[in-house]
Amino acid sequence: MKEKNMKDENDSSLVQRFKQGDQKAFNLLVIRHQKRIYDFIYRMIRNHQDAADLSMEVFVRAYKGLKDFKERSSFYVWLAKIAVNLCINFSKREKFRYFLSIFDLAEKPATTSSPVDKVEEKELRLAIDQAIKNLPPRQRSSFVLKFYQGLSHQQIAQIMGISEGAAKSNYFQAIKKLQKLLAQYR
Amino acid sequence: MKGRGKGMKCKEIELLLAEYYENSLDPDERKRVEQHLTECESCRLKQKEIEQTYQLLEKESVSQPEESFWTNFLPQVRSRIEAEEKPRLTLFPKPRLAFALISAVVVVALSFFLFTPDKKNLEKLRTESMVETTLPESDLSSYADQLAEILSSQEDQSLPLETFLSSGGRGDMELTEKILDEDYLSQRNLNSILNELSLEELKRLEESIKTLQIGDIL
Repeated sequence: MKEKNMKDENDSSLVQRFKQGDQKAFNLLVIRHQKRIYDFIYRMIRNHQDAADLSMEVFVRAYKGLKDFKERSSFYVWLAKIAVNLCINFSKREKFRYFLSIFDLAEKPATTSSPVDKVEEKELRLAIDQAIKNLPPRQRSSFVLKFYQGLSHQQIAQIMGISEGAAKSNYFQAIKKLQKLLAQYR
Repeated sequence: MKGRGKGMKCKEIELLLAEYYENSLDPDERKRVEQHLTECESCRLKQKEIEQTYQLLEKESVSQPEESFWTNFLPQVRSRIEAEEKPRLTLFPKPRLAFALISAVVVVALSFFLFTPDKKNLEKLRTESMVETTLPESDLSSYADQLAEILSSQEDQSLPLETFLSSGGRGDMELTEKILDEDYLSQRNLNSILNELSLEELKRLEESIKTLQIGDIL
């Protein structure tokens, strides 16, 4: 099948093609989800370099495990599950990076703004970075998946392997903590 | 009662405030929250705080990687996959097996060095320990030998302990000689024997030993 036609295919169909040996189908799945996965990982670990490395790792693992994917959930939910596990393991292993990341602010901001705004923006970003990193991994995952990725509590429950109620509770606990941690910036 | 009911309601509403802001409540719940907020100032304040927190989080701008990063993303993923799929020409194709093997070698080597007896040191230690376990050369120790022997002969009903103690340790000469000839090892029982004696018996023994003269033994 031509690549142009394949682009219109849904994830499930591309997964089937890949299972039948079509490597291009996998390439399309990567291109389709790379930005979203990267964004999720960045929001979780708040460091571009590690986010780049881990998001590539998600797809390497997906490639290896895709033949066993039973499609009980959507492809993205399955992919996010890999990403959540990688991020949680990463956070456990690399706790000291929390301190190093404080200096990781030399990246260009996305918007153009005045120098005063820039300082405030930097300060706010640092505060949010630290506040999010202070959340326990499960609460952080629930928060990022809901707040930044717009997933439902049901999808989050699937990703995290917990009940919908627990996913909801994790999310609200995270909001409550962020509210406290960011109180001075409101 | 009224206050308690109101408090519970506030707690209930508090849990819904985030969803209220996200507009993800069902219409009935939303109506309930709105109704409560018009009546409760404390919850209105909490709602305002949640709203401000959301706005703060939404305000955060995150820099995105440059376009070249996305162009190279797939090739990099592919090269990682390729690298992982390449059969590794190593001595140990399975890292776990290699690790187990190395661990086994280390354990064997360590046990060899740690548990092989150092004969020179062992001999030295043995001598030292013998010195330590030998009773001090005092009157008590030499007569304790006698006591041990008497106790063992007590089993043969030849001379009861009481007799020895009441006679001030002056038993018959044959027995004394026997005691003196006895192997040093009899001391091994001595400690346990002494431990079993009451304070009174120990006092009497001490008295007996003090009054005992060397001529009585020889």
